[in-house]
Amino acid sequence: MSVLVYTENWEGKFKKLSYELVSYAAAMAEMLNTSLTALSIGEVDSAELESLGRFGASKIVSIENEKLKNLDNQAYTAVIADMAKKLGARVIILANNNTGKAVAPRLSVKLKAGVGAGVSRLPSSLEPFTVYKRVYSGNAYAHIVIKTEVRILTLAQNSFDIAEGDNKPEIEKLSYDLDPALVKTEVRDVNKQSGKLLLTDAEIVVSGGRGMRSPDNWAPIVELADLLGGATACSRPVSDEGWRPHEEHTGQTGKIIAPDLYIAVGISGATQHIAGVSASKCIVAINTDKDAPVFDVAKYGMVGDAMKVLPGLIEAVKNVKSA
Amino acid sequence: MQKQIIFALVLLATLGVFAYTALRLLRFFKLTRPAFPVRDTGRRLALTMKVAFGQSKIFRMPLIGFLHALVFWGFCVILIGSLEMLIDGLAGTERVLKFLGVVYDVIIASGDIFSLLVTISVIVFMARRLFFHVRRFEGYEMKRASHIDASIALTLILLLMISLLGLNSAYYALAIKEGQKMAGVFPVSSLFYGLYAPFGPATIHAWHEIFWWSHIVLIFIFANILPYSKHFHVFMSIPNVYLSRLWPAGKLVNMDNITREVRLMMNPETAFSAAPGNAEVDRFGIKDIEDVTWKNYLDSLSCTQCGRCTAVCPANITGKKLSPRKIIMDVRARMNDKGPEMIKQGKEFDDAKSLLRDYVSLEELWACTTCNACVEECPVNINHPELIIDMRRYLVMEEGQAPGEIKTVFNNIENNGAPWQYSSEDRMLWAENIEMAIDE
Amino acid sequence: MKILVCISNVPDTTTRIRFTGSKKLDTAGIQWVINPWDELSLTRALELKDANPGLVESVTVAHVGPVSSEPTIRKALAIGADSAIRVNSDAHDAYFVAAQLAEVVKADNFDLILCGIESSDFNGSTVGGMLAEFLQYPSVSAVSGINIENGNLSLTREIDGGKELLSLAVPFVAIVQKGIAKEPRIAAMRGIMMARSKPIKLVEPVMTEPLTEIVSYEMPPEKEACRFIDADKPGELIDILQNVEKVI
Repeated sequence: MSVLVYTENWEGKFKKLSYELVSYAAAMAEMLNTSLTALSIGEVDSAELESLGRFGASKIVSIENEKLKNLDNQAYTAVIADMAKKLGARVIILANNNTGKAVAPRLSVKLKAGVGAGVSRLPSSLEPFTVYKRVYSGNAYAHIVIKTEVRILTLAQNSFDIAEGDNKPEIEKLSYDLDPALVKTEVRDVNKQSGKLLLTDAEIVVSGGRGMRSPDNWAPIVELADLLGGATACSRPVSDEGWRPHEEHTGQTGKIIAPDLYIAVGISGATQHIAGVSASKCIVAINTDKDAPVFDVAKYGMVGDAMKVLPGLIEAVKNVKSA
Repeated sequence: MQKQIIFALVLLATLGVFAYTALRLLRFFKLTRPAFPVRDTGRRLALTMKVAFGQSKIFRMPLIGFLHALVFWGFCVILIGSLEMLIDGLAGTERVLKFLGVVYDVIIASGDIFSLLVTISVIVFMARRLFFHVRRFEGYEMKRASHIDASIALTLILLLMISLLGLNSAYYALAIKEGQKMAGVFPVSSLFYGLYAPFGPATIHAWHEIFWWSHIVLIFIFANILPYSKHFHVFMSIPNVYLSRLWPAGKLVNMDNITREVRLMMNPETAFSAAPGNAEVDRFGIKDIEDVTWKNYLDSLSCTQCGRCTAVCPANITGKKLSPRKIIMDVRARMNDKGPEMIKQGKEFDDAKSLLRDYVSLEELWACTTCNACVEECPVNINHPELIIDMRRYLVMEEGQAPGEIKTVFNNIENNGAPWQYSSEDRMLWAENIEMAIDE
Repeated sequence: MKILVCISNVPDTTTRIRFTGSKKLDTAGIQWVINPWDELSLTRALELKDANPGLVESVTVAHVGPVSSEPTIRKALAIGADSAIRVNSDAHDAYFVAAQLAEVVKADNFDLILCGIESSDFNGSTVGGMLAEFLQYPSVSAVSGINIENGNLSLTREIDGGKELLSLAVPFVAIVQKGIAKEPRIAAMRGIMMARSKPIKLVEPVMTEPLTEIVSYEMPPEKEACRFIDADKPGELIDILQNVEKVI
């Protein structure tokens, strides 16, 4: 009987997302009066693995296997399910990111364990096991009971605060015997930009919409994002027009992000765009139209021309950073 | 007598060629779809008088328009002289209409003056084409062939006027030399007497015959070239104006087969039991030449490639690919390309090309704002937007093809009852908190 | 190759979401549409069929839902799907739906099964993966591109910071997201008319116990009104963000 958390790594490193996940899982383990084991797949050094202990994992299992270098949904599911069974996990926690979404559902069927997808809080009750998640693209929330003995939860990004301690975990490195026939996907090519701050990881995002009028006006947005140590994003029309790369498109059919601060510049606030950013902790909007729908979801707003407001903000940020 | 026989033979040959051309065009018309019933004769006659004979739309460009009007009116008057030459040629008479007396004098005199005016106008037109850069004569649809076509036409008209002045001045000179009574008054041709003075009557008579035959043969040649040239408007403009669409510009022609489908859809119980929809229903909109109406085709034959439509098109002026002139020219070109094969091999002939995409691109079609400036401007009442909209109808209703923004509008109208992304429940929000004073 | 596109029926994005009591969605005035991601995956399936008529035999849509979903299924047919299958049951939960769809796939041996990454109603992102596991087929998620090269399928998968190009053999489940198609197809008039005669096969559900249950809904907390700051006072905003919100 334990809680198992799957902690993904990126080139051998964990991110803030991983620590949020472990903190949540640790809190869950405490609720259930049991211990937390973290599972890592891939080449991660001991120091990095140990860091997970600070956030509440008492045991870390690390599986290194060449065939598991790239995500293969079926193979990863088999490995995690196997470990879950061996550890007697009652709750399995993953992140609600690409990997979590790929693996959690398969795990659910394999272990006949109900899924609470994209939860943002600890369960409100253990009997029945009830979780809270956003539905209707953020227009409502639902309380969902998971009826099975084993439960799988995927945690929404940036919804749980990190709780750091100084726990030292037990680390077990396993050489897992994987049936090669399970890995059916063949990765032929990888096209990746390393080192750049990912939009989905950024705590601060400065985003531009069609109100910016032209791709030539983007410099202040990029500058502000850089000054704040954040990433840039855009609305759909902007990426459709080719003003910004489509990786920056946030919205219902683009990236769904949940930064601490989302600054929307020249964005009217169409429902689909808001659906992609509504989980942000604080939304600031800058728009010339005081009736723009974006002000209905923003916590702070400025009515004005972006090209006049942005330089002012940039100055103000420079001032506080140098102070 | 000999002269009459030769004339009759030449005339027969001309009529033969003309008949072939006319039959060919008629067969092309048979490939097209019905347009509208032709009624309201009175209204149509009035329109023809104003737009065609009165050259009302041509005058929007006052100076050059005036010169064109002169040429057109000149042609109308000179036409009478040409008919006289036809009778003279067959019957062996000389100036048979002289029995009209003073009326004849007036006709000939105005014809004579017009010969000069037309000559001057045509020289102006030619000089303008050669030495000035007239924007509306350029355009990516205006290939070398179009420019050559224009030059040939202008040259022929010039030669016609020269030969007409020639024959009239020779007639005048001969009458003076021989002391004959002349039929008609020649205010302009008389001025050339000096050129004939040194020569004897036989020589002058010879010149008269040369000019006379040149003139009539040029007319026959011109008449037969016209249907293959952009100058066909000489024949087609008046019928095209007479057969104008009489409803307001911009009014869409309703599609009955769509009305039927909508009715079926409003009653879903009947919809799915009705016969499968794809069976006999005609194609929606225009994809290729067999889908255009006879009026669309007539429009394309009447187009002079003057470019006034493109010159006022806001899309074209702001650099978009759309040129209303091009679309009309494309229809004519497409019929010339596909028509003969369709007549030979049957209506189902498919050359793996179509008017849509291979001649008229999607970019051009979607650039149109349907402002109807081209309709307002066209001197022969061609309606370009009707073609454009019918091609859009094909794209949307048969292929579901439309620019992304328009697809968004379609979806919004379907889901929210309005073109925008707002909940249909919010429709009346604008009316909240409106203070209205109601007079009791 | 036979393609199956799984579709779900959701309220249109601009719908005002309300509940009767706290347990049921208030369906009055709701405009139902195909789940946007499913619409994009259907579009891609049809594009593949149009470009490879010899290779792609047919595109079928499958849906688990009551008869009230049929207009949405007809819309999918009008957009161009060749046939449709409806499992006659309410969609109790993702596990239940996936179990039904698994039977649909097994009955007809589809080669490529497409599912949208999530549905805009429950945002679960689970049906696709569950379906693959039921079938014991491989699955690929976060697919932003599917192409046919030399008769084989190649997929583009989004990863953090970039993309991967993958190939695998059919049958498999592709769970697709944005990028899979540029914009959804609309139903042309001709398509709507032809949809009238396309079949919707009705299938009875298999007995499956759902693993989860929604016990109540809640409206999101009332948002405070936006606090406006003078456009001439950028310093004030930065100050608030730094000291009050503590996000800078």
